[in-house]
Amino acid sequence: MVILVLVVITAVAFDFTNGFHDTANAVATSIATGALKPRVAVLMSAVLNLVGAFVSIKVAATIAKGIVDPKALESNAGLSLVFAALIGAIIWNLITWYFTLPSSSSHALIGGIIGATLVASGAHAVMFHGIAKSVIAPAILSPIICFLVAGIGTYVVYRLMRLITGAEAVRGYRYGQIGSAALVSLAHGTNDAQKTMGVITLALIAHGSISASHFYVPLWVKLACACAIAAGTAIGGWRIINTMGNRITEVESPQGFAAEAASAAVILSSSYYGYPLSTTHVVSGGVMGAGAGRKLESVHWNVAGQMVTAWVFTIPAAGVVAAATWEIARVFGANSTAGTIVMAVLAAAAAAGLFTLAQRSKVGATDLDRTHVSPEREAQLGTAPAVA
Amino acid sequence: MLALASPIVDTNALWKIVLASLAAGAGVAIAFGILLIGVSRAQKTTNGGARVLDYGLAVIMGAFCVFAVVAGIHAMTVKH
Repeated sequence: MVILVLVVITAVAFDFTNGFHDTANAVATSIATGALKPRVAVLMSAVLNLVGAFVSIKVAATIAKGIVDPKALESNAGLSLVFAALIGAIIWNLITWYFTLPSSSSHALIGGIIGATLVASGAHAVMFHGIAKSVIAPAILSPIICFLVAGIGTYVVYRLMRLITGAEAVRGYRYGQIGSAALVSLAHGTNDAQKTMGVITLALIAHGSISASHFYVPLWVKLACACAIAAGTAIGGWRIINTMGNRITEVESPQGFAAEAASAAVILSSSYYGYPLSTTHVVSGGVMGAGAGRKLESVHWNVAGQMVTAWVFTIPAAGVVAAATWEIARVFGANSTAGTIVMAVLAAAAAAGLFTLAQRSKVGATDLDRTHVSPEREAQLGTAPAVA
Repeated sequence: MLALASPIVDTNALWKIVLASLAAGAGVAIAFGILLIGVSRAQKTTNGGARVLDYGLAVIMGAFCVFAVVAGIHAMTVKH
């Protein structure tokens, strides 16, 4: 029972990190263009993530499906495995947050599950073909598709905007960005909060509290996950928002709108056709595409390269941390409560250490606020479409 | 190349995703731009007929954007 409680607490903590790590996906470009005040943007996103978490539980039902053998997740061993996976995902989320790199929380969780399963049950319990099909292929294709869609949208929009003044375009697209950011936030809530719901439900099945043949997500699990991701989002992952909104390329309102519209379209159409994907990868591809659609050299490819490197390492790195967690906990006895408690304390200490280190290069909401720049001023500065 | 990758990538679904994303993603950004042009021109013109046409164009583009948002929310609730 103690291990189950620790797994639930750790899952909620992961959901919280998922929230502040992924806030940037929905609101970074709206903040960067001055469409929304930073705090207003993250609060709006938090509320919509909360709402999105209740829209559907179909994602929750598919977590780990096709990735590892379901038998590996049964009984007490399954509980310890899920715990190790969550620790791997949390630590990698915090490391990438410290280095201000947008990376996929979903991939971190999948990497954690794979790493823990490899050491707990062996390679035969890992479904490599399923991983290639449902994780790797979408991870490669989705940012490319979003890059192209956002790039084409931006290119055409900038040709159209020659027919009106730059200030009109900036003002109009700033309004549009509020809607597009809201849609991405809602889509994020429907995907990511439910992954944690799925993890907790798996733990409850492993513990025997829920029958595997009658899968359902208890209301308290839905509430806990929805509140955790909303709280994490409301905190505002300013470090990653800064990277996504300002460091990949200088985003203007029409570009921000095109990037968000493309991201929402790719996320929702892929989900509709049964391809779960990382919102981080999609939105990053969209921002790069929007930059390239205006001017290819306006994209800071070195920053993009750092991000892609982090994406490549996400699954292996989270897997290594999860595997180490599993092995260290085993020193105290197989599936022991003591080992789980020790690892929970060590992980909390590591998280506190990273948070303390991050305070040395703190980025806050006021640093990112651009709402004081009027559309007319933005047009004059040349960071808006050509004036007619 | 695509044929070789077919066991991993469902090319049929991939094309549907690409087309839907282009229509909804790039389409909405462009439609919103035409909406802004319609409103801007309608506000500046002194010709009553042209104003009706420009506002009409803006309304059609606005309706397309709203339809895309509603379709997106519908897609969230009926995931496969």
